[in-house]
Amino acid sequence: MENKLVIAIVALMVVALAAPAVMAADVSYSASVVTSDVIVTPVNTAFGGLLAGTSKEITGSLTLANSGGANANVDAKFTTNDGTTYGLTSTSNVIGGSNFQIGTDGNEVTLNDAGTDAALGSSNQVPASESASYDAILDVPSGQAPGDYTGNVQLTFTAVV
Amino acid sequence: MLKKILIISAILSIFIGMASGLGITHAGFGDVEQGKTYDIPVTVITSELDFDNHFVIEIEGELTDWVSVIPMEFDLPAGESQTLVVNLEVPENARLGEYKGSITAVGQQGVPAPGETPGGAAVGYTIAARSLLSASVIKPGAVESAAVTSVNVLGKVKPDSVVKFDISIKNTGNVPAIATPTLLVSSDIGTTEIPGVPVELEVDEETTIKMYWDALEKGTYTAVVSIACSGTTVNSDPVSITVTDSSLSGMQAYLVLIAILGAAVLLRQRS
Repeated sequence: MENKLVIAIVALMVVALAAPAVMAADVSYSASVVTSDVIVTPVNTAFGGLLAGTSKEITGSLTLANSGGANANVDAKFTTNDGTTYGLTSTSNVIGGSNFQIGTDGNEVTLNDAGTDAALGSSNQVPASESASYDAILDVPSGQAPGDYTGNVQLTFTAVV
Repeated sequence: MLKKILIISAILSIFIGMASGLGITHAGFGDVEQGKTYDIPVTVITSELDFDNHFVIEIEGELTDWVSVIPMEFDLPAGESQTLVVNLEVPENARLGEYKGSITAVGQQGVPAPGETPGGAAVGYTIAARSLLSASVIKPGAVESAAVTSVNVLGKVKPDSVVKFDISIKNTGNVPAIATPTLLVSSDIGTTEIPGVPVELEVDEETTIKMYWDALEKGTYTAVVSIACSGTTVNSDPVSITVTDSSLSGMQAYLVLIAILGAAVLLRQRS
């Protein structure tokens, strides 16, 4: 009986001595800062020859693949201009950005002539670890002067947090 | 899924030879104090499927005047990342509250490159990544408050007239504040609420604003100016307004009536 008591007391002392060490153990925390990381691959960006007063849609003009951990919001704006109107420019003429649409099929958003960001909205978000295919539509106004028109669209990605 | 995306992108890039990728982390400063400076690192990430690009930083939003970024432009080879230091310098007199802004890394290289597309209309693309900035300016021991020091208005007006209130508001706290006034005009029928424009007040500043009420119906009304500031609302002393056709107040009308009666009695005695 006495032996058992001694063993129990020794066991308690061992536990008591070990406990502070266990309680003082460091706890490590880690965190990953996520963002979106969108790869844009232009598949076809040339509308080719169009008649004034007609329009053309390029299906699957761009592929956007988001390899990041957060969904990506997309804004778009023309950066090319003729001094006053932003859009596709020729030597001295312009097709305003308000004649251009971009986005996923059925969710295309019209850009503007002011060269300011147009939010493409939640339906055009690029989800994390997924891809999206954007269509591009160009309406050529009636009476538009003939010429080769080129323009640049800036796509801005913002991680949704 | 991610592997599939990368494989598809790689195959596309082989055929097309052009791709671009970009990501950037956000910069939340959290609580910041007036007169202090803060640094936050922000990373711009590119993909190996990208091409070498040159980026220029654009700063926008409410924090534009307080934020600087180092470097403001940089070359970034494909697949590499660049750390930016976002510096926030909070002015001593900054108003307390939430501020938002952004920095955008704008790629200068477009795809397809000029001349790579055949004749006719064609569109090229450049890419940019936006980092959202946020900061909440606080001050330990700050008291953000305002009070109405006076309300001047005519006590008696005619129906269908516009009543002008001259209202003095003072910052009674120890930090700049925004006070939002509301004019409340009550009668037995109900209360009309007229919202005012928020007023920015420096410490100890007092300003006078004008508010207007359409006095349509005859009656007796009570007007109170309510000031909302930093989640607290304080009211002015009530002011009484009578809307009547008479040009005399009730007391004046009684005095005039008594005077007329007195004059009539005097005239009668003399006659």
